[in-house]
Amino acid sequence: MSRNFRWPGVVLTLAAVACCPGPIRQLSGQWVFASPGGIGVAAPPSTGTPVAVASARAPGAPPGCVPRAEIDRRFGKTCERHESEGGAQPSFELPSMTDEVPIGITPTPGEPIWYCDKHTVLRIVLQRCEATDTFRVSQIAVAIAKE
Amino acid sequence: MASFNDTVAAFNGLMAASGYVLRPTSTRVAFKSILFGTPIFALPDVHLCDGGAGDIFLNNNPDKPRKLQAVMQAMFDYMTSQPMSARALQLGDWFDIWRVTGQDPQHMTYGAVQNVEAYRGILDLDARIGLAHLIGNHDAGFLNSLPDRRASQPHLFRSGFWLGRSVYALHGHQTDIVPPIGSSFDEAAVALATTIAGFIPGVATFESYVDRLGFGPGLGRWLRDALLTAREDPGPQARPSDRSPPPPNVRSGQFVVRENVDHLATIAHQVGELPDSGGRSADVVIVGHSHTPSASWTDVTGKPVVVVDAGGWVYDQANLLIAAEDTIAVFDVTRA
Repeated sequence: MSRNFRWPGVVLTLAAVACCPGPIRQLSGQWVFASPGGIGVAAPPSTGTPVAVASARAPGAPPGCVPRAEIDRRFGKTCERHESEGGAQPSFELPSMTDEVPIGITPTPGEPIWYCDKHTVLRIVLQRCEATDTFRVSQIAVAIAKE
Repeated sequence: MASFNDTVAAFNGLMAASGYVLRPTSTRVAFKSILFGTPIFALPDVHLCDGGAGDIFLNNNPDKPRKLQAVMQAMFDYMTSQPMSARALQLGDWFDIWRVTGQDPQHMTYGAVQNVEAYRGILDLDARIGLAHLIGNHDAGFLNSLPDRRASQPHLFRSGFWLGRSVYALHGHQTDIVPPIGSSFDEAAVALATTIAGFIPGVATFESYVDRLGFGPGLGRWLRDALLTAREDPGPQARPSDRSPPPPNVRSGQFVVRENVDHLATIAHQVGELPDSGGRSADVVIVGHSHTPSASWTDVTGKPVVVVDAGGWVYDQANLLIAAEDTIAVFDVTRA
């Protein structure tokens, strides 16, 4: 008796799973990398034009420039492992031993960030905004595995 | 020119905001002439690992990253408030890649280190300063792949650096494969090559390795290969006080009898003879690796060379080397 009584619920659940499409994927309201436009909260997409990005500008930073810490906070951990972008030993040549440590600070001119998940590899190249500790996006590369 | 005392006072002033202070160790040497016209800030072995229980830098102490960040922030503030006023260098073993991954990877496999939340500020300052790094035996993977945030600056990762006309810096692991006592440099190189030959795949004979090594130009290969064969850091070294008179160019200083001091001075001398060194010649060699601050000296190269070991940041240690004007010294970083 009780077994029969459960059947309608089970059927309805299965039907819902089978019939309902997945969630609506959206960019609006999300933190995105966009080109052009930079980094920030995406406005709703419109008529095939580039996605507008609400300013993610940090106080005192140039337009479109975001602190690296904010980028990491929004987008999470980077790849545990990825292909090399080059080491101190170019090709098979040995690194020089006769260079001199430069005087003063020499901030990185830019930084790549690699994000990975099961199917996607995303490499962002950031360019440092003048002498600040903020960055803008100069390139985005995405690889999506089929399986 | 900034005096040594003024430089230390300025640095301490910058650190005070973070609640830390520099306290002198017994490692301090004052020379009779000015060797450090541009101040030097040198961070010895840090060994950033994965933030877990086996992380010998973190050592389960949440204060440790804050302490290192305070030192690096003071470096940054000093050099931005007084542009072109100082050099900053990290002496190798910045990451402990070997401890985290168990290998010298060909590709970037440092995510376990780079994603440690507590290291975010440290890595941020590393990139903001554009800190120069020596390559140590625990981060020899940097030969093949740099940390993500530093990928655009391979020229700031080297196995040896000059810091002016008369100061050279090495990680210091290069002498772990110890040649016979009393051997000359070429004998030492041959002895080292013999040992290395046993580790290098495809090198069937010692002779073929020596042929490849060469001399002079082969020095770099020797040092590079030493990165890949010396794994364990040395244990505590018995370094008795050196009771002999100090070298003639020194005004004051406490010296110890240090293992391998002749070899470290000889390596710097050999590098100085390379054409690209432009006539530089080391009176002072700064090293890390042993994690034990000390000063020692030798005249094996025909002139006095003082070797200063800057200590380390492993376990409870937190050292900083400062050199300015005529003085070089190692400090402990402690709570104010």
